[in-house]
Amino acid sequence: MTWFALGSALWLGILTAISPCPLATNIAAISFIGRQVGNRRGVLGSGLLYTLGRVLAYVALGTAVMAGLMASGELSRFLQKYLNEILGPVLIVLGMVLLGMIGSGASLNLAGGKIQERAAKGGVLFALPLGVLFALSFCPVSAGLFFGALIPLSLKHGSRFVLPLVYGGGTALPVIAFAFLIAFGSEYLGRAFNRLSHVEVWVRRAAGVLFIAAGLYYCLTHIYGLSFIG
Amino acid sequence: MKRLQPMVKNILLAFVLVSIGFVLGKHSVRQTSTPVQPPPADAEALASSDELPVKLRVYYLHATFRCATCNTIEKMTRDLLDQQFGDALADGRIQWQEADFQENEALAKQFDVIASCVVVARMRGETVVDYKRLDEVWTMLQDVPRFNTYVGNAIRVYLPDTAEGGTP
Repeated sequence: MTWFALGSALWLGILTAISPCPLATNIAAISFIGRQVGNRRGVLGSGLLYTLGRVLAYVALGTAVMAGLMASGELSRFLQKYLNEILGPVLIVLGMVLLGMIGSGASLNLAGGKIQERAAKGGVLFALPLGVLFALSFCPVSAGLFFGALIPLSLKHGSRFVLPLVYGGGTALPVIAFAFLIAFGSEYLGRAFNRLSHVEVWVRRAAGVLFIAAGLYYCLTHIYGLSFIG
Repeated sequence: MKRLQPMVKNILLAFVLVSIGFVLGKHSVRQTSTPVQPPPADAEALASSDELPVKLRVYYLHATFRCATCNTIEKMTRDLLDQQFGDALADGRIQWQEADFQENEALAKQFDVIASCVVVARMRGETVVDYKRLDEVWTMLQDVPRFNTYVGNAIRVYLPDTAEGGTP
């Protein structure tokens, strides 16, 4: 494997992240990771786990396709068809949990406490399944670049693991960078004006609202077939 | 604000439930009303269509959800056809077809579609004789000359010499 192949995989990942079609999920991810203003370890942990979630999803898919366990075309069509339809309602429910509208009475063993409390107070662990879910929700651009460009590149270089891993890292990189900017920028602002707790509350609320907005967008476009593109 | 919250919560929950119901209904209706047509048995269909002239069909296959980048691919392909293959389009050697591969599963299976893409197919009647799926268009969108060379070369390889369908 060459540096050129590694660079290509990274660039394909970044290209996927900065293209307009996964914008709604990227905004949701940025708001989720960046919402823990004043909790630097939480932001870093969420960012790393979100990246790990994406990497795991792409490595698993890449390995399954390249080992011949799944046909690339059928898998890609299945994920594009069904995952995006599931994503809308899931994002709305997650947004409601982040806003404390639901989940305060339920408990989730994995997180070790009430869902809403865990999610609102950090919920760093939630970043991992979120990364997996967002990675699997292929839009046309990510499907084209992953199945149409990265898989052939990985096959050519005999890389079932490294190139999908680098690609997954690339898809998370712009999201993490923006999330860190928002989290640390808001913290700086909050401290400068001595209003850190206020900023923290509003950034968290914004994350919940953005999740709901992204969920509504996914429902309207992928379930009800509305188009917002001319 | 506090009084609004229960109402917003109920509206959102109702919307989520309706959406889930809509998805389930949509897929169950699709499964019962539109059985997937298998592609024609190639050898048999080919034998019966031997007399038909060979044409080149350029497909733009897209998902039901149309993204801005996908629309750009379609536009770049149409522009290329109009600019470099206007004569072949006019005399019918090249046919243009745009289709939703999520609606038309037979087409998706026939070309083993992975995402929105351009496919050039040599056709005899409605039978696909040979085809090439151009997946690499996704990495060439910022480089129009490279895109035009890639798609244009694939079209030239499959393009019949004459309007009557002489093989290239």
